[in-house]
Amino acid sequence: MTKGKQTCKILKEIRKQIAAENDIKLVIEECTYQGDCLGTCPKCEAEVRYLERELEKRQRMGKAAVVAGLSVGLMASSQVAMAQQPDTLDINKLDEETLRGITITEGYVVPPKSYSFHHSLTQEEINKWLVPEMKSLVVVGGDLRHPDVLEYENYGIAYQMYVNKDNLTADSLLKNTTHLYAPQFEGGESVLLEFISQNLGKNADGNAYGDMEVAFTVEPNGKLSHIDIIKGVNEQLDAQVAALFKFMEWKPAIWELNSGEKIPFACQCVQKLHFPMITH
Amino acid sequence: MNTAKIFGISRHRLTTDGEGVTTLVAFSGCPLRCKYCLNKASWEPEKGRLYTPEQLFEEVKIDQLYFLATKGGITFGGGEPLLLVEFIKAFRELCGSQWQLLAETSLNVPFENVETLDTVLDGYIVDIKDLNPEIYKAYTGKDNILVMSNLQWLLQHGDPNRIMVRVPHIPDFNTDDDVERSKERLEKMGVTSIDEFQYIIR
Repeated sequence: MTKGKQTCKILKEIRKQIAAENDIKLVIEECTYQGDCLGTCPKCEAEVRYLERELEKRQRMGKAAVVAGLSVGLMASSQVAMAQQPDTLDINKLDEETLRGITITEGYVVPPKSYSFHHSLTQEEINKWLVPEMKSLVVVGGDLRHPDVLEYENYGIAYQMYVNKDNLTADSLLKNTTHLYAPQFEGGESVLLEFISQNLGKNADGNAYGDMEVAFTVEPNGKLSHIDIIKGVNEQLDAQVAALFKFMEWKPAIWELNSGEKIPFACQCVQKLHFPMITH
Repeated sequence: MNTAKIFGISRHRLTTDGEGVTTLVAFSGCPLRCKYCLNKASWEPEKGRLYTPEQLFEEVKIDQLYFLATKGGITFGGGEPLLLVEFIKAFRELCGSQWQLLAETSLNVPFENVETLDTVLDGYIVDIKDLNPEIYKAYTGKDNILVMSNLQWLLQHGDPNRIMVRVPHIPDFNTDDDVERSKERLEKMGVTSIDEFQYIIR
């Protein structure tokens, strides 16, 4: 088991303990994702928020919320197991073989596994993913709130940002680019989820269950276009979520040149949502 | 305004920085210039994102439930966290007494900083390098007078068990014998927890 999966397992046990100790009904669905993860994902985060709300409810009803020190024993027994796990998500440890696995499709690069980079790419990082034949660059990324954190596209948001100009060569891109910034919902993903949660609250189908994937393009002006529910939960909820995305404004993807000029460019994104995460 | 530049926040660290589930908050700015520094970005005090204690608290409290259940919390690193006295004091007021606050520090800071923050912090991970002043200076560019006096003071003013001292084998700078000498001296000073490890140079 990789370190991320091990972390996920331990955090899940902590959530179970908190729920059990406080008589909170918590149904934890078996995670079927096969790859490594960071130890958390929007679904796990939603369970934490749910527990917080339930604990608050208990306190409002005058009942005690038992949390302090509850999982200290669990942590102690996990120490040895964790210490033995390799940190497989360290971008610095990507070997040549992995890098050779990069595939080129239709003029842009898709990493074999969808690692994200820092919220701003350094020249060195751009170099890692560029190959001479390409004329454009795709970066698939995850959590922008934590610059040192890598996240898979299977959780949260996947970004595809690319610079695609006919007269652009890899060399000129390298020579002229200092940073590429992924698009971002103001405040990051947790704020985005909170935004969706709050705005779906009254009308959402409270029984809806499942994963949703929303594809959209963040235009250079920050408006969203080409909104498409590529994986739906049910017709009503799909329509509500699509409508919400139409109202959003994001910080656009930015291509920063050596000259200091910052060029916003269109960027395709896929946001994954899990229900029920926000309808409690 | 009470602010700090932070160049990294890393959540859900389970074994690396003390007990329980912890979040590492890495400050910019460091008085040392260690030859094999892993976070050279931290040398520049101006690099990183500017936070107020309130903004940081808002961001990291997402894991409060895990902190409380496991007696974990925040480990301030960097960079040198003990340079951010007012910031950490204000943060403690926001997070309350139940979060464990640790500092991963070189202790190469003014005594006043150590004295003030000792009322706020729960523990220390001290990156001691080598106790031999010449080796220390060759590796970090600074002398270790403050380090030793601050460590001595911390050991004499509070539970020694709140301090863990990391003693590295530093390629080309110290030998196994040097490391042994450092450990012996630390034990005589009253250090109860020593983490001996090897720097791996890539």
